[in-house]
Amino acid sequence: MIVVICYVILFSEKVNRAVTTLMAAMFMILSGVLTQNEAFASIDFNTICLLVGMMVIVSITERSGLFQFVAVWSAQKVKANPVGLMVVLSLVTAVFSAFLDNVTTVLLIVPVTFQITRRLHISSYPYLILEIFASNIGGTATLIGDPPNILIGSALRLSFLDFLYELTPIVLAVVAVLILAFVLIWKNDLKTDERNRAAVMRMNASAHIIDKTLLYKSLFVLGFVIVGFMLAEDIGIANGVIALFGAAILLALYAIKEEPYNRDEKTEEMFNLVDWTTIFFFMGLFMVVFGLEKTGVLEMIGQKFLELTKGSVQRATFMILGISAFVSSAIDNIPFVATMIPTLKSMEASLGGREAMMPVWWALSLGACFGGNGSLIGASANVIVAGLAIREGHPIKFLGFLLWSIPVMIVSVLMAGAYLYLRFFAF
Amino acid sequence: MFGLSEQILAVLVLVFSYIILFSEKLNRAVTVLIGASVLIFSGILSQETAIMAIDFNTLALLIGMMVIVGIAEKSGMFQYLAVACVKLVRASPRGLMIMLAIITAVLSALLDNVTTVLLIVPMTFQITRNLKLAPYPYLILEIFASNIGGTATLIGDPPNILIGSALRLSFLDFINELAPVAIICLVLLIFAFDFFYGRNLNSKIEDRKALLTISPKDMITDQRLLYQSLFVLLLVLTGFVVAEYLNIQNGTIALFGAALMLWLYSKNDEHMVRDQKVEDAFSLVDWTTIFFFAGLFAIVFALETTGVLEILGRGLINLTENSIDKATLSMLWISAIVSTFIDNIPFVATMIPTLKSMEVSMGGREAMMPVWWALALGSCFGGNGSLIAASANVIVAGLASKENERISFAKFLILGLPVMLISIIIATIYLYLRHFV
Repeated sequence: MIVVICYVILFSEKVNRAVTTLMAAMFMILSGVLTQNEAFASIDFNTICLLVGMMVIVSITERSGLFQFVAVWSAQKVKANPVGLMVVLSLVTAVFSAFLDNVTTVLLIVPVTFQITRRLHISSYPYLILEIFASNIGGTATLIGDPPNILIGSALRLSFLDFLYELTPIVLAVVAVLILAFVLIWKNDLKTDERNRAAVMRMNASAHIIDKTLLYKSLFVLGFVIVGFMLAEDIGIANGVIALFGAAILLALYAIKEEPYNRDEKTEEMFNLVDWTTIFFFMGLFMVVFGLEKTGVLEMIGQKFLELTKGSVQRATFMILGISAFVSSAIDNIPFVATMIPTLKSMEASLGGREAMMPVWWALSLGACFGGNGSLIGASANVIVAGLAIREGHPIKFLGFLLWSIPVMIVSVLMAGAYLYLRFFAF
Repeated sequence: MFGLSEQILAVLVLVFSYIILFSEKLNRAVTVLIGASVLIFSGILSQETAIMAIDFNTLALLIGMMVIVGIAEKSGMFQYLAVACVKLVRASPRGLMIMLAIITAVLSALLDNVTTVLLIVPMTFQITRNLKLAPYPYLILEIFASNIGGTATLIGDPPNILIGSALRLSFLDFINELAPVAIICLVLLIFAFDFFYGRNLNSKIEDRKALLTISPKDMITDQRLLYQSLFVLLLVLTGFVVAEYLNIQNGTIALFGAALMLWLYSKNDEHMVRDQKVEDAFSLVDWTTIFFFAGLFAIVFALETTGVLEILGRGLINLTENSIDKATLSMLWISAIVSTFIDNIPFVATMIPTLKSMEVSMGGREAMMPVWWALALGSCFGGNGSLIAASANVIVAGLASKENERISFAKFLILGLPVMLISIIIATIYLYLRHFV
């Protein structure tokens, strides 16, 4: 009951999502479904540490102006040619979202896009929707790119390299097809003249670098953390510690030369930049889902699902891919994935153990992430871009977006299906 | 690792972290996080044990209360209280000194000390400026009152939260054991200040009249929020009191109160505004302190697993010759002296597992209780010993220097040390009469 009410409130967006899940979790404790100790133990602190750590690192790095610099610099590399611009901006978006979270990526890229398209006197619309698609697809490629991946990776203790190895090929293929399609469709509509292009070339890319020392410090820590993720498996250290350690080091470096008072002020300010709503949303969600798990509801769903798949991993893979893509295009994919994880885990024994189940997990990740492209409310990055576009006076309409997004989602999910089939079941 | 035994490495990390902490060369949250990470990298802790070591009840309690108080503050209710008290004593300087000390003590018992002084000190400056009085005695008295008042309840001071959570003590246990001695100390303190300062303070009638024209009602910035915060605060306090019977921990109650508060606070707003308000309210939490606690728990746990604290505990047992009253007395004085010079949070966090390891030899949990109360009293009252002994002191000094009213380290010591010593002597007598006669 609590969970149903909680999910209904969540999807109706009548109450802030962190508040909703926290209240639901506390009700579970007060009503005796969970004890406080169980509830806290059910929180996946590896995920929480990873999120908090990365958020701190990214917000500090952002202050150096690195990301804007890269965007402007790459626009100039293609000589501000509108078609080339389409290619580089979507590539930059995809790569950034693979390493930062999607919302941060679009918050960084969209303003730069407006700056450039305004100078070129061309419509920003195709660029913006392409960036939405690129951010959702790019985020799929790595463990830290998208919340569903963080959840799955942490629950199954998968490594950074596992994700790179399994998901990056299909992501690259989808991004390539996407860019190709967009270039073919839009190339005749995007015309500009030499003068406008010269205006973009005159933009001073290095002017975006606000703080050079900070840039080096953040690059050092980012590189260090990513190398840490890659080595994590071999040295037996979970990703949460690496991210949090990186965050602590960067905080120390960031505020090192200040007076004690300013130093504490700067540190506190950076902690405030962490998206606490998301963090508490996750914590509440973990507790609520665990409550469901404990009452056996998820196992029941799992059993039903097993009957449907008739015990075949292949069937399960494709069903999960389809269902999660469909569900994620309509509702937030985080509660969906958080609920599916224990459900799928309860099926492990019947489907032949962890190793045999892996295709199903990858299908969950691909479906949930690609599904975010399905509608304007499919992922938070979409909503953010739409919000930024309204402020610039180029609104993105729900239906107009659907016209693009449904085909993109269907094609990407079909490609994912083909990929999973070829990789796991064909031979 | 590096051919060092785990014990030595853990001690090294801890000593190193503590040195950096006390030298204040790095932010304290950053220091303990790095320390804890080093312990994980070196294999003394795994990520799981480090996270297990964190007392999430304490963190939930702190986060919940910070959110509730942060939002409640916006309604202007605490300022209302202060102005209402000015009215009550008709703005007489002598009465004000007493009233401000009492409000500070009561608020610190329910809120944390830093929040209390942040609310009270600006009011104090406004009042003394209007009455053309020297703010100095008021400020000093407020520092003392906040540290003593905070001792009275489970949620008043971080050492109490730590001890209460580790031993699963209830809100009523603290009130029952500590409130009497806190009240005695406060009364004596107010008498002393009234004798030395209060009775000599005078102010012109017209200044007093001018101050009385401020209406407490003007302090309320948001009437609806006021009722909402009062409702949630009462609910949470009732929750703390009945928690024991319902078998629900305080962390849950505080977090539930916070969620409720956030919901009430933002429920009539548009979607975007709502999320913004919630995010802003989360930023009111003092995250540096939260991460400081989390990292500290992990470091102390490493010391515990490597057996260092047990050695320390055995040393203490030998020192006290297995007698509870000796242990109580030495705990009280050691913690008071230590807390005068360094931050009492790491000290208490280290002492908790140490004392727990002594439980069996000292005759079990019940028999040990006086020692725990001594730890709470010593470390809280010790906060009055010097200007750097508690964060509230530092904050008041900072606010005062902004108003060109310098509180110097030495000048504070002249009053702080006697206040600390007298309160500890009272605590000694109290513990003796209560537990050993």
